[in-house]
Amino acid sequence: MIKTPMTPDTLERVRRLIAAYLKIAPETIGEDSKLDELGLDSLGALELVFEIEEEFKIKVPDDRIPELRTVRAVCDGVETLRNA
Amino acid sequence: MTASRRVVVTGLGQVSALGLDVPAFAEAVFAGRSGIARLAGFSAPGIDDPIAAAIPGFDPALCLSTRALPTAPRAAQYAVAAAMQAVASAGLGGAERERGCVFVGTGFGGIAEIEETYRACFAEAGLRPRPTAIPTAMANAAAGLLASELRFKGENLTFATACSSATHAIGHAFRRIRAGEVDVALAGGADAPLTPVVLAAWGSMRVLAPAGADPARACRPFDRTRQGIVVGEGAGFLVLEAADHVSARGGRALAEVAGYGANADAGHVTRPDVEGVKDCIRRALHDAGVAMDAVGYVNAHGTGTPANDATEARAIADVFADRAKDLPVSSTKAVHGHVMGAAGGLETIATVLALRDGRIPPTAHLEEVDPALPDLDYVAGAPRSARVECALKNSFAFGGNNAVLVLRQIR
Repeated sequence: MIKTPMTPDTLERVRRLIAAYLKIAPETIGEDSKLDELGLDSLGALELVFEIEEEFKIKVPDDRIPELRTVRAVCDGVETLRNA
Repeated sequence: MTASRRVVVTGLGQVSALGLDVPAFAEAVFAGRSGIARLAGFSAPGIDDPIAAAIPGFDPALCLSTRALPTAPRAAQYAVAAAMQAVASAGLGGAERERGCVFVGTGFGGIAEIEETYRACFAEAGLRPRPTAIPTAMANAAAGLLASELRFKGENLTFATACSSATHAIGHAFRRIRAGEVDVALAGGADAPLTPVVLAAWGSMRVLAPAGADPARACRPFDRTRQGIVVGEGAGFLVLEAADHVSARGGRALAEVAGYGANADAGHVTRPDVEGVKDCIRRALHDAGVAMDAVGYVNAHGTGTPANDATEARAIADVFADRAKDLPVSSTKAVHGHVMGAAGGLETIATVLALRDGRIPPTAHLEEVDPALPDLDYVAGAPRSARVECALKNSFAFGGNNAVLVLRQIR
């Protein structure tokens, strides 16, 4: 996978989506935070993917979902799909 | 385990328009203080001035784990809040909970979440169902969440019999414990039916009481001027246990569950049936092995519709015959509204309190008993002190579905 640089805008929007779902403060979510440690279980991860698809108008393929383990991985995935 | 064990209630918990714990509920029920009010900022098609028995100031974050909080549907949130109180007041330890069963009644399940999904998909172009649409919509969402939040690992069942749901859930818990199959069960009901479509649909059936000059007094069971139901939301749960199990762990019983009757009218889907109700009351009394003379209070289904109250009063009068005119009867729906599948949970709690405390809650807003109703001792105005040996809890539902519990004072 070709990495594209993560923009601050993408990071901010992803943090906001996670925070809204988990009902926690966005400041508690770092780039390296692991989604499961934040409290996103498998169902929660699907909710996040749903929100990301709506927010960024992208389609996340099923086989990409298991890769999305950290906030950084989510942002990278979003950037890749947006630039695809 | 021995067969045919005595079954007792050891814990109570509720959230409703009357408050967020049992003391608040008891205070309001016995004082006849109504939780019914106008629904501010609520729009339902065809309802000009919507009123309801809505829960004030409920914060799910106070009772749900961080894992459950994002996805728990509303009725399930109420269930957990109520059940946590019941389990705490019973003093159940972790080992007892792990063996415990969960029996939940709900009339509408995840209706609020279903409605939101449909609105998103059909009213807003391009939206699709969320991944959580199915697990929040399913009827057993509350039962599942009770198990995971409170670590009850026993049998986990949901009873969906409309307005008698919670009463059947309690009745089945009673049967399983009495038979020696289960030691501890959490039983009751939860419903969150205050959605625009549900309220409007009840309006279309023309059974909703209008707001009138004072919405708090809109629901007036057995009154000459009664005009219908007021929809409520909430949850009421009880911990039921085998009496020997309670003794062994040093717990305290609040009341005994002595009998349960269940039947079907096999008639009209919405119109209640005197013969069906009479048969159900008799089944419950027979199941309990209780003489009619021992019954000192009936907590009525008492919805406040002309049809329900007339049918129920006639059935009570027929079953109790010469004793009927001296039999105290009241409906607490006047203050907590009709909480649908949770109604039997809240009202069984009121009945347990009546037995434990030796006082009968009044039917609030009952000023002039409908002269067309048969002669019963309609308790109105103020609570009445009375040592009640046994009490009935009646619940009747659409589908011609009836449930009656017999509860007994702890001697």
